[in-house]
Amino acid sequence: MAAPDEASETARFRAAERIFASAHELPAGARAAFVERACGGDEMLRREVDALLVASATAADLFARPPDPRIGEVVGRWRILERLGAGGMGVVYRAERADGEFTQAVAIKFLRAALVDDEARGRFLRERQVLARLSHPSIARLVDGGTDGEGSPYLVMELVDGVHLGEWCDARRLTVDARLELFRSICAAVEFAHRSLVVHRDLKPSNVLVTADGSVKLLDFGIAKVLEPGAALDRTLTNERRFTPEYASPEVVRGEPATTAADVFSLGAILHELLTGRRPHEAPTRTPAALERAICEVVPPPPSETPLAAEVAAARGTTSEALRAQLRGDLDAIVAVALEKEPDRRYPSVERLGEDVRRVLAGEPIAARRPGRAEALARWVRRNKALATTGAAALLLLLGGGTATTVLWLEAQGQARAARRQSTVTARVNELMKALLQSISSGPAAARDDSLPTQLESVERSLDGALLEGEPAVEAELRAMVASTWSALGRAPQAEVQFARAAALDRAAFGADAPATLRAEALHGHAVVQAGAPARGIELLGDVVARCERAAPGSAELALALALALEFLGDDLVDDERPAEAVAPLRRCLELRERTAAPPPASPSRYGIASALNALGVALAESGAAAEAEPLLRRSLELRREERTAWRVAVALDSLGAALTRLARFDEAERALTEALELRRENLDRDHPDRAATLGHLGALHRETGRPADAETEFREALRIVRARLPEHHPRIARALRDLADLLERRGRSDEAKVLVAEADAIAAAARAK
Amino acid sequence: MADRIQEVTRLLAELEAGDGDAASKIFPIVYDELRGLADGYLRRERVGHTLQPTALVHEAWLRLVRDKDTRFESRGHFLAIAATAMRRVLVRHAEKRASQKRGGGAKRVDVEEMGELPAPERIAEVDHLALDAALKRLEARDPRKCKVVEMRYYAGLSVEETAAALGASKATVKRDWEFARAWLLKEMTRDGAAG
Repeated sequence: MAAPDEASETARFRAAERIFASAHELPAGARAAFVERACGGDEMLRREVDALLVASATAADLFARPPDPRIGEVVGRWRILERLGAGGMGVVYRAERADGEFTQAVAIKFLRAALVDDEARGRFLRERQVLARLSHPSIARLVDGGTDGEGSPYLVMELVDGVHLGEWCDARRLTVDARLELFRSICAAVEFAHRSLVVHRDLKPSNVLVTADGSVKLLDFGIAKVLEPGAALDRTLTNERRFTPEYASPEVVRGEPATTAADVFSLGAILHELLTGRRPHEAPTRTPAALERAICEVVPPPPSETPLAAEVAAARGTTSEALRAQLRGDLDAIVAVALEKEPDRRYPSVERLGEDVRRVLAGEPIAARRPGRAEALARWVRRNKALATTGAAALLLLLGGGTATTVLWLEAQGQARAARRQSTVTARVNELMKALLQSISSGPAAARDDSLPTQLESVERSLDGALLEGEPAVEAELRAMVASTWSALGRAPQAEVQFARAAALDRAAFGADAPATLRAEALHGHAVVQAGAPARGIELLGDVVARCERAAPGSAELALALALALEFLGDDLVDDERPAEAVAPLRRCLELRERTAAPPPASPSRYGIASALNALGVALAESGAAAEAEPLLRRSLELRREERTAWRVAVALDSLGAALTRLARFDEAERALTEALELRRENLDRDHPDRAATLGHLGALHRETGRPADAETEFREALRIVRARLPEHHPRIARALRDLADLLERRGRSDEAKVLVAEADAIAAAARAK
Repeated sequence: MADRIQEVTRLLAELEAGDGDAASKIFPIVYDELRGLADGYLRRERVGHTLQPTALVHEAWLRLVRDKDTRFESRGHFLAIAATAMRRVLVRHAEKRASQKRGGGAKRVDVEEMGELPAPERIAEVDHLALDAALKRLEARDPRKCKVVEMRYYAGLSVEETAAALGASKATVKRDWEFARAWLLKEMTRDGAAG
């Protein structure tokens, strides 16, 4: 090529560039005239610019277009730009206004060709109408809709620039709380749709996008259905799988009509995944059939019991253990209720689901589950951390912090046995309290035993103030805790006062017939007996038993409250020297415990059985059926040894020893009672009433085995203890007096005996008067 | 690897200080890196895999520079170089494919293999060799426009990023891009018609 050509070519390139740029700005119709004029008769230049303008119409596609015949097509007012993805119903593209009226990016969704029959077309058109009704900031808006040249229906929707829910949360390492906030806004959008009579029916994480500003957008009300009165609800087309099985409810899987409850279920599945990184239902084989069976039949483990890998926890800004602890309780309960197989058992509305999630965030009790006292307390502590800086409140909170554990332990104890054995229990409470108090006082020296009553009184004063106003469940928890501790210290009257207030508070918090209230009242009744008023206490317990019987049967919690009341009633009848009357309630108690016990090796409930066996054994032995009692007491001892708690083993040995004495198997009795006394010496303080009980049993043994001197020493020591520890007119003092008087009588010291008997009679009279 | 990172970082600093030679020293390093990455991607014949130039270039950046504190300008320089290197990588692949095929008529890269690389109207494939030839002609007339195409197309940079890397205004980049696309298509169509 010659040089002049090259020079003119470069000049033409520049001119073409200039003219092209200007022409490109003009409306298509005005371009030709402009180019003609601008080229000023240079034919080659004009051809060059024309070619550029022609090329520019499609050049954009050259540099940005995947291989899809739809791309570049103009459908209605829309030009299709790129493929975004394929959903259950069809393919989705990004598109823009083809007429250039205004810049608007949209998503255009075509129905899958294979699905286009008249029915599908009708469904599609219906969806269009449904969507047109929905206008909510968190729901992708319907912009337009129509049918393309080949008869394929399409929908044009607001293009959401966002990322999938899970991706968003994990990328930002959103905490559980932040995820719950997002979930709440999803619930709000679904709730809005439900109010417009639209069920989404295909809710899943990929249908929930989060935009750059952190707000959610729900996509793809793809199989939404109008719940209009009169609409053919039964005629759904679920034989073709258009839902996403992983998140679909059992009824949708089965092809039954989907109601708002189906969305509640899917939201539950989404929540499960948000929290644990896993879908709730996973089939052993990945066939749809296996998955569907799992959805319909398998109750997924609670979120807190799913495997939570370190990276799952890390994506939630926490550790596996902390995450597990956070999920346990309320969130487990919420997910479980949302994922109920039966629609009727789920949350009645998405609103209620969202409301419970709000409550978790606010630290309020949720509806999915009425919280127990311990949880109410833990929640209160969470909300009132600031109070921890003040003196009395600090103590209270420290007690509170340990209370959940204590309460769990007390629950087990309640089933095990309180009654006259509670003193041993109490040793455990002592330990716990000591540990707690130690940490707040000025050091280990402050944790001496004798500081405990002072500390308890200080807790009582805090409770009497307005600190816990409006928190009856929490206050009840703390008062029951204090009461148990008083009881542990052998201060029955103080214990009774606090148990009474705990019961009243529970009644206010949960209602008169709630299992928690009945339990608290049983504890109170028993405390009344322990404080020395058997008649009144037994009446209270009889009333609790009657109310348990009247309340609806079937609840495990209620059965446990009843068993507890029956056991106390039986124990206290034995204490009141009416062992024959105790047998029937204690048989009933044992039966309940056996029925409600989890199969082995779930130990705590088995130990509840041990406690009932022991109580029944004692009642039988004392009412003259020691032979029948022995196997029960031996089984109880076996369970206690298995449980490996020394003080409970001591209780069983003590009861067995007493029964063996009655059976005149003195050597065996001696061994059992000696071991019991040894264990009690190790575990109880010297003046503990339980020690007095074992000493009394040993005295009775030695009285029968020709060791009267030993017997007298033992009876006197027992008397000393009950006089020191129990209230003035306590029946057990009277019993200890009679035991000693009986022995002295046998030893020919009637005068001494008469004085003791007179005192015993006076005490018995005073006790009956209470 | 550590040596290469140090060298690229040093060269980028020199480039920024005005040493034009630095760019030509960086180029071979970046090119090798990209070729390695692209080969790796293309060898992995997974279903649905895509070869995305943008991703490759950014991966190369991470592998070769990786320094979070590196100034934005350096990144621009690097990407400008990487875009050219990416173009070379794609052309090389196209040539390799062409030499494997019978005869000389099929100088095209199969889009299926190149994943989501753009395809011109009515031709389901990008002819990287034709595009490269057209780009060379464009470069002879207007090097900046060629650069814009490389950065936008081969490195997948946005208008803003391209403008920043080239030190031009966004309006200029946009105008260059509009014109260059039309011009390249016109050239390629003419070549196609002629050949």
